Amino acid sequence: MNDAPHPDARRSYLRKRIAALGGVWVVAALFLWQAVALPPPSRPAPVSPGTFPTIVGVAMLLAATGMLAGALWEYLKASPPAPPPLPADEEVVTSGPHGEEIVHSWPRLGIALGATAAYVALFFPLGYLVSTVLFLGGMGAYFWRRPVGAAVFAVALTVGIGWLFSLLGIYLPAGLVALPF
Amino acid sequence: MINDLGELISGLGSAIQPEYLLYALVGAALGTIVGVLPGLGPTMTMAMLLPITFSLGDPLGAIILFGGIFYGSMYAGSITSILLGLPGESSGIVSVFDGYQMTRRGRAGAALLSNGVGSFIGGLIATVAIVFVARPIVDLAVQLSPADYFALIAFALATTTLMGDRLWPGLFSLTVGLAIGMVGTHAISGDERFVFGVAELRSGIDLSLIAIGLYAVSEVALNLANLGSTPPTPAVIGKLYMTRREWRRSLPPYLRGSVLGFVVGVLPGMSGTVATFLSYNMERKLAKHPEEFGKGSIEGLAGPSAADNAGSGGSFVPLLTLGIPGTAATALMLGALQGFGVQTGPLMLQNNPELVWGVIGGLLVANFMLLVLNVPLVGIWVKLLKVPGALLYPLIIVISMVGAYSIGRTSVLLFVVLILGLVGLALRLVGIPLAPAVLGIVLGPLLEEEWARALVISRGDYGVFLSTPLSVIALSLAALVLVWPLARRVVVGAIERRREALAGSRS
Repeated sequence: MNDAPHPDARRSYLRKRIAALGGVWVVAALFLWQAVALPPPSRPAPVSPGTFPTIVGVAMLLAATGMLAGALWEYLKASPPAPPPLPADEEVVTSGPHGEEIVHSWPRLGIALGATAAYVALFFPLGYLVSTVLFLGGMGAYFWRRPVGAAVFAVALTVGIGWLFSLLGIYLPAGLVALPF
Repeated sequence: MINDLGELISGLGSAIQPEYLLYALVGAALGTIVGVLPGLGPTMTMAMLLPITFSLGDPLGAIILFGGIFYGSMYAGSITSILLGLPGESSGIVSVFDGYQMTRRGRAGAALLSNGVGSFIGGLIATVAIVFVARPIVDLAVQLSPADYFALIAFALATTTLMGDRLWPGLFSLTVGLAIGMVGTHAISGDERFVFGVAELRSGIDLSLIAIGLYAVSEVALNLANLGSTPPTPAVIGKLYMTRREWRRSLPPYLRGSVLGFVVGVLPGMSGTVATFLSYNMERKLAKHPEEFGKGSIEGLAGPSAADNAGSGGSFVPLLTLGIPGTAATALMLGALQGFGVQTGPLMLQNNPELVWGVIGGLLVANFMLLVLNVPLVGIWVKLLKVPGALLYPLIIVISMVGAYSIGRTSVLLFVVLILGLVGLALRLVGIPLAPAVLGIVLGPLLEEEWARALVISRGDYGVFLSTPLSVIALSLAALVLVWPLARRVVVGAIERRREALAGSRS
């Protein structure tokens, strides 16, 4: 059996990498632009507020260019290191040929991030108790596939954490339902 | 020196007070838990707990807690390496080579005992060594000029780019950290930078928020995306017992690994992981039976297990004596100290001796606790592998967000954490390491401050940065570290081309 990936797969992998690093390069260029645009000091100062950011911006753009050039060079050489085959059932996050973390399931990543964003957005309006029970219960039900067990854990952990933080003098937003302590 | 030993004894006296014993125990237990669980690391755990420690209101307690986490994760990072062939931490990778082979030969108990004892000896020797080197380094450091200090920080930051194995990603990560560290009011001119009209950003982004976002949110999201469907089944541990011959074969590697690990740990940018690889190679070269390496040689397990904990101990030296951390974990400890208003740097030992010696005493106490937690109680921690990630990872998000809320009690800060989480995730997905960014965030403001101070003294003359032997050496080394990966590639490429050409002409 030949384990080497198809050349098209290699090229497709490198095309995605070049696009991602192109994005990184744009961010670096934007930062340098913002650094150069910083106004001179409003009162006499030995060092202008823009000098150090400009040096850092140049280094950032240089690093981004180095990464992008490396990826383009690999693409042109057309003999890139092959992305490793994805292990089927493993808990460790394996990394790719350029040290990048590999995502085994993009939908799961999207759900994890979406749920976290929703939790952040609802933390104040619904309050700690309701938003956290919903977040922990929902995540547990989806990823653990045991809705009843997840609900029990969600309520117990939410109340437990709220109690621990109240011991530290941190009182969490009440929202719809306040904690009893 | 005698004085320092006396100070250490008084530090131990502080550390054995009940509340500090509790901090050490909680830290050691948490460190062991994250060390056992693959995908969770000590930096993420400290990030999650950083805001909570501020509400405890005690810098010594916070650093003892963090020290326990740091040491504990090094102890336990090898447990799953030995039992499953699956490292819990990067420092446990080397333990897979021989530790897992010992398990397959039915010697899991001996491997775990050897790892626990090695970690203890490494941690003990390194912590005691801190006492011997701290004062001489501080005595030298208080005489340093701002230009010297700038050069040392620049060198420390340059070496962090070595944390990845490629220059550009490490350098990019470092500059991202430096850029995030610039958000807020410029300390020298009082002008705002990169605030974009958001009032909450005027005083800069709190280190806790950055650490939680970059590390905890991105790590949890990746772990959830990559959850395995079946939990791993660890091997049977059996009796924790080493034969007399195994003890005899382990002792010299323990001692060599400890010394090597400590020296490597003191150097910035060098982690316990690097020390474990160096120790493994050294033991293989010195071994009477090098052919046993990779097949269950106890020397190959003993040396690295001491080296990784000694490396962690060594990394406290630049933190406590110069205020220049060399790893992401010690950078967070520096951030915690600064958050408590402690004056870090060489003067910390003079102005806050009870804190420095208390930390060292706390590390010693945590090391003893970890020996108990990790040797006789190892079976309990292994059961943690059965805890479903689906419950554990969202819980980390909740504790992190509640911690972020405790800093400013506004929703803006939670969104800042979320955005930084996306930044951390994006960096990881293109292969950019996070550790240099954390060091850049913590050391960037200090670097800029020393740079400005040096220029004020020299009245704007940049020659000041090359005016002392130390600054010349440190800046030259920093430049060398940055240029070396490229130079090496060019040199190696030229040698290979020449070799190929020679081979071609012969044929």
